[in-house]
Amino acid sequence: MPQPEKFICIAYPQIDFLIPSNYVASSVGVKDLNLSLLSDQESGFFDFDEIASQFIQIPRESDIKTMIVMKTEGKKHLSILTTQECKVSTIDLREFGLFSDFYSEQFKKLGFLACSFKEDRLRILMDVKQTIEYMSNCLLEEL
Amino acid sequence: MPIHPFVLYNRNTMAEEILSLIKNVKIEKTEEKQKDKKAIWLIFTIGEKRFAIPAEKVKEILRDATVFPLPFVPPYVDGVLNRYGDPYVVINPAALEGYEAPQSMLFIVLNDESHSCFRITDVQDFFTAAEKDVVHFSEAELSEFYEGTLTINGQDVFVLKVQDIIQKVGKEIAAA
Repeated sequence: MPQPEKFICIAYPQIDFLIPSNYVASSVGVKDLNLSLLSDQESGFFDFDEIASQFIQIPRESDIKTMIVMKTEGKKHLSILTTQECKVSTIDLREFGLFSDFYSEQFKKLGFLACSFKEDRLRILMDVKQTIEYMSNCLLEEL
Repeated sequence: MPIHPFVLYNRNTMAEEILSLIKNVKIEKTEEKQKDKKAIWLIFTIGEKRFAIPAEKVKEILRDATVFPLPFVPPYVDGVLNRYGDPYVVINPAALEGYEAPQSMLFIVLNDESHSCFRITDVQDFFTAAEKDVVHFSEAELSEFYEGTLTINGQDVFVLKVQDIIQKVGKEIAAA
């Protein structure tokens, strides 16, 4: 029987983003951080609110942000920052539904691996690095 | 008496030609039968417009499902809905064609492996007609999304190219 897995859950209205905890090195609360000074490709800091705001409204802004430092191969640093609530959730892998074979490759390119629905909320299991890479490529194409 | 290779070659060619003709006639016959075969069509509306798709392409009609938006998808993809725990991609044909329709909560779940559904306004009727009754668009009128029209009670109803629409969505999701 598959064991439940631990995930870092970033809770936005209607949608939770799940990051497998074994991909996370650490997380810490930070206050009064001016992300605009840090947020670029080179720094490795990414505003997760900005990613989420592509498709959902973010109701509250907070001075306190949670910084989630991802485990990375090599020396390149990658951290995401969010103003929304973060918690550790234990979820049975059987609760996840997969995208159909027809769509799975496309969603994988976006960094979306699987979904779970709970109490009128969508929980997206995501590959943060892939999502950021996709976003960065889109930005480069726009430029 | 030795067989002349030229004669043998000709005989073979003739046999192949006849076999090929018979095969073609058979294929044409099957296609005609297919065209004559009556099918049931689901008639529905999106906004004010009426559409038809073969009922066999419909798995289920869902009402009042929550649609969760997704980023980086084309504007005609509304997001995903929950069907027995699996994410189904919600396609908005009105947005695909570039007109506005009221945001309804009614969905046609398509009967294929893609896990897709169409957001529609209302289900109107089931109608029986043969494939040959579909008036296909001429070259000049060719549409990306419609096979042609079916005339139902004196009114023309657009027949959706379900497979072509799904293929387009599949191509454009990660390209948005």
